[in-house]
Amino acid sequence: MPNYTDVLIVDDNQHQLNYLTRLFIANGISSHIVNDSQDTIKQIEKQNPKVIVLDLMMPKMDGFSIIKTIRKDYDFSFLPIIVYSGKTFDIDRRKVLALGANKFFPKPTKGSVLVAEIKKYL
Amino acid sequence: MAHIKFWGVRGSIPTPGPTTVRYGGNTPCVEVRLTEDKFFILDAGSGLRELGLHLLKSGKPIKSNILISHMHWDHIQGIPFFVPALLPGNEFTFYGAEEAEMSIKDILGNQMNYINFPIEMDDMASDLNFMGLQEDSYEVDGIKFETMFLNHPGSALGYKLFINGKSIVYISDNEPYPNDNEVTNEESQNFFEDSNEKLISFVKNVDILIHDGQYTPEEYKSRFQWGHSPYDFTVNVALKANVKQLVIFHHDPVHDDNFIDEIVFASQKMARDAKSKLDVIGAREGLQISLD
Repeated sequence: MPNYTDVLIVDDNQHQLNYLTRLFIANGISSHIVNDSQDTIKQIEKQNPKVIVLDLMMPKMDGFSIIKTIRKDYDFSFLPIIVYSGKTFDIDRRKVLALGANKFFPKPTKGSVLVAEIKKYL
Repeated sequence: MAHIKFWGVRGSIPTPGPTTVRYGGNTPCVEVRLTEDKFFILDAGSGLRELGLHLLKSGKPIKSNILISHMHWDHIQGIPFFVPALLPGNEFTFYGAEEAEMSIKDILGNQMNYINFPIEMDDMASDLNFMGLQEDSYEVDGIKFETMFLNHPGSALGYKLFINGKSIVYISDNEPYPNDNEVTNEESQNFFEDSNEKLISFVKNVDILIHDGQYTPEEYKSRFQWGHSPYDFTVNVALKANVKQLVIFHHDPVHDDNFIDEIVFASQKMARDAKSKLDVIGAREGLQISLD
């Protein structure tokens, strides 16, 4: 049986991963974390998430490149991507939306707002 | 022999004129010289033109790696006027943050399309190479360097180079992460602490930190989210990280020489008041710092 998870969280910051995991558990959302952004595609294949929550500024492979890779992938191109980033400049918001992300939230955003957006896709 | 030389220190746009002669009006370009033949160039602002003319004096083939902090005009506008790149026998490799939408070559070359400039990048007769970077560690021509993503619109990189047993960090454009007081939960606190800590960790104990210090704290209030730092943030980072020498960089185009003096004096006072040995200077064209 393949795995199915609600949310794949891609972030290099351990505090963020801990916080989001706890936030999602408290709201009945299952999640799987990806600490090394280079593993994102492999974990999408393995975990079959319904939504991705994605950081932007990460070592080895940044979030912009991940969005582009997902949107070009035949199997995953329609996967909803919610960008959750400390980059709060409007130009970056426009850039990630142009690349194909579904939503941009600056860090920090109230947990309830993030959860409400995710639940739209579950 | 090994040294750093500043060819352009101004942010945003070149600012020639009688009120900027001491610090200079050219946009960012810094030469990091290892030996007579081996050197790196940090950013390709309008200062690159002067550096290019200087390099031609040797009469020898020129080879260099050019590390671009980001692709905003003030950091790339010197390329069309970089004469060594027009001449066969020379070789340059441009490095910059990898962009999802476009190659480094296209980003740099588009400023020279035939409508904007009479010579296209493909017409430059030197051997030009292009390499996209992420946040990582690299080694080029025997020199190790690390990169770090900065808080600036678009993808911008800070560079840490290890040369002659010394460490040099170049962070031309960077803004403190905004603290949203409306979100005061655990995540918010951790996020700002982590972001701050990451920058401090990157510059920890370095010998020379070249960092954006474009604004006064008062100016910063009305230039929030423009992607630049007030000098007090920059000095505090240097103090917390035990940096040996801080070079205030990326001067605002509206600041004349006397105003920049005041920023430098205020920064030096912060270091004195903290009873720190931190040496603070203002970047100016022609400034040379020995690495021997």
